[in-house]
Amino acid sequence: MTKKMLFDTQILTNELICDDVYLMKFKNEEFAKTVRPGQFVQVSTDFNNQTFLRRPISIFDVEMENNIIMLLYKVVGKGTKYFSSLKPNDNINILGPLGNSFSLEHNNPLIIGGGIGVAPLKYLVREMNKNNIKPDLILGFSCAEQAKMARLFNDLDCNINICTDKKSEYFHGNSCQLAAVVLEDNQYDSIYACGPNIMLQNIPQVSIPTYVSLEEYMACGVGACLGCAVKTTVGSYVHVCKDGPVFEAKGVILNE
Amino acid sequence: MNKLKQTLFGVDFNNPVFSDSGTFGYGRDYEDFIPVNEIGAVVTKGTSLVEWKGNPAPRIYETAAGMLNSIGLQNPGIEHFLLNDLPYLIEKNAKVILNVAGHTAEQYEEIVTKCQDYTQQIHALEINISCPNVTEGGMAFGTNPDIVYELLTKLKKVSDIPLIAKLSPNVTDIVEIAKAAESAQVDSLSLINTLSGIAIDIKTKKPVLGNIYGGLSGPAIKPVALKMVYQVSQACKVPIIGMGGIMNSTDAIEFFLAGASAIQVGTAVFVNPKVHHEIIKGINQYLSDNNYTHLSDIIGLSWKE
Ligand SMILES: Cc1cc2nc3c(=O)[nH]c(=O)nc-3n(C[C@H](O)[C@H](O)[C@H](O)COP(=O)(O)OP(=O)(O)OC[C@H]3O[C@@H](n4cnc5c(N)ncnc54)[C@H](O)[C@@H]3O)c2cc1C
Ligand SMILES: Cc1cc2nc3c(=O)[nH]c(=O)nc-3n(C[C@H](O)[C@H](O)[C@H](O)COP(=O)(O)O)c2cc1C
Ligand code: FES
Repeated sequence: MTKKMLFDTQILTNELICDDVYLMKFKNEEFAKTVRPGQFVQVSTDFNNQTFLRRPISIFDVEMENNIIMLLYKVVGKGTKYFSSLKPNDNINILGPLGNSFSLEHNNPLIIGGGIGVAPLKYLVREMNKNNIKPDLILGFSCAEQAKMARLFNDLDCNINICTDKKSEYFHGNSCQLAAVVLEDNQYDSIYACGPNIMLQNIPQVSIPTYVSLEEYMACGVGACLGCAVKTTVGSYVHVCKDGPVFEAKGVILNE
Repeated sequence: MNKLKQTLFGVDFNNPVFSDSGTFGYGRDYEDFIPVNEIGAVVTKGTSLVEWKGNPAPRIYETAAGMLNSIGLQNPGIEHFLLNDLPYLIEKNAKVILNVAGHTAEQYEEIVTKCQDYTQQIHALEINISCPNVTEGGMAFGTNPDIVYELLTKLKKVSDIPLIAKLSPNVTDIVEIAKAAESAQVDSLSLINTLSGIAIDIKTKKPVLGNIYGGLSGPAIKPVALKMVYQVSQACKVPIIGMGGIMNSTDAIEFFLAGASAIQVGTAVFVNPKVHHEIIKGINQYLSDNNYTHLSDIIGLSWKE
């Protein structure tokens, strides 16, 4: 397990990507050196803003040369609204890196992201690229505006297939429909997916290892409170923050 | 001199700032931030006779200045604790308070009995008769003074380890319950557990939590907790361990002034994993600034003549 850190950091940039999605950057050398793809951080919120628990946000990308960490987040409520109000040089407090990480043992993966669920996938692809693996990606969004997030993947070595629920210049349909098409024409040895629960439930059933990155409400983020429980197929509970967020799909029940 | 050293029920604690039950696991989860020997004591997750699986998700939900939880006392059971977690806590030199949970009086008794081989390693047993999140036992035991008396008397008979009764705020008169526990000869009282509550999602129009009800903790409950400590510490002679919404040293000092001899910090650690250290430092500073030689000088000052 990676050593957890707790530190204040100055925001370098916090820029609007599309609609309600922002990209935040901060710098920390030790963190950049230890964090693994799939891990997340617990970001402090502001008590004056009627929130006090931290919010879990995935590691979107790491710029190794400059020790810059990137978070991609969507404004959905008070906590993320507060994040979007922060300016360069404002301070945030970070707890992390937390959780397990994606397996890097497969050579020919299909990677599926839905909406803001693309967030943990970029750093995954970057690390795969380091092993000379050039994965196929399916990135599904509600509309063309949201699909602007996909541009952030352009500096990676991968094949990006975009789809949108609303009619647009891209494939018309959701990411699971596009995945079904792509799976027919290709031989993959694994699937990696992150997105809304409904998407994860509809990933085409195939015999290859399928990894899903899950979300649950969190309090501690370190395995102490047992709040972020997900039921397993054998009837026990595992915890997203410590046993996950990445699980093999066949081991967890996504619609308890 | 250590101004914070506290001796309660014959046990020396380096300081009066403990973790609380259910927010600190068995001590390992926060080890990167809080070495377990640096807080007064580790109060463990509520532990039952056999493994309890806990409640369906979602189990937590943030509310205004607080949070609801309905964990349902998920824990691996007493044997697992004795085999896997207690050795870690001993090795790290922690003071250990085991929080005990049961569905029936017999289950409580069996756990307490099993602990008697560890009288040197387990420093106290905190009897959880106040969990709002399990259907049988838990709070059902803690809301009727006769049952409180009966259960604790039974446990006291089989225990050489000091007993702390953890009280529920979900009662009409907490003083009555506290007195019933005291007359059963328990060594200390801890209060409060969470306040029973609910949250409803206006989109689905249904309760948010998988278990429907949850227990409210955090800053929102502090005034309620403080009042109960203020009342119970005047009505009872045994030392009071206070908790409920303590976020910083100012909150902690209020609890000592209200009559607590030690405090537990729970929800705050989710926000600030170093909060125990900051509280310890803040209490020390307060005592120095006000020329007190020891923590005991301020306990109950809000009501003492
Ligand atoms: C491991 C992990 C990694 C995550 N990574 C990212 C990321 O990289 N980018 C990103 O934008 N979001 C991510 N999320 C989700 C993010 O944590 C929530 O959107 C955020 O906590 C919402 O906070 P809020 O105060 O803005 O909204 P709230 O006011 O708390 O809630 C607004 C809405 O969001 C839903 N919600 C709140 N918290 C969660 C949660 N933990 N899981 C699912 N739904 C929730 C609520 O049901 C509600 O409908 C991640 C979640 C987890 C568990
Ligand atoms: C996630 C969570 C789990 C808890 N689990 C237990 C438990 O197992 N046994 C118990 O006696 N109290 C439990 N509690 C109650 C706390 O120990 C404490 O009494 C309460 O949270 C008030 O303190 P706080 O506001 O500092 O958190 C739990 C509280 C929380 C938030
Ligand atoms: S958030 Fe506390 S155990 Fe996962």
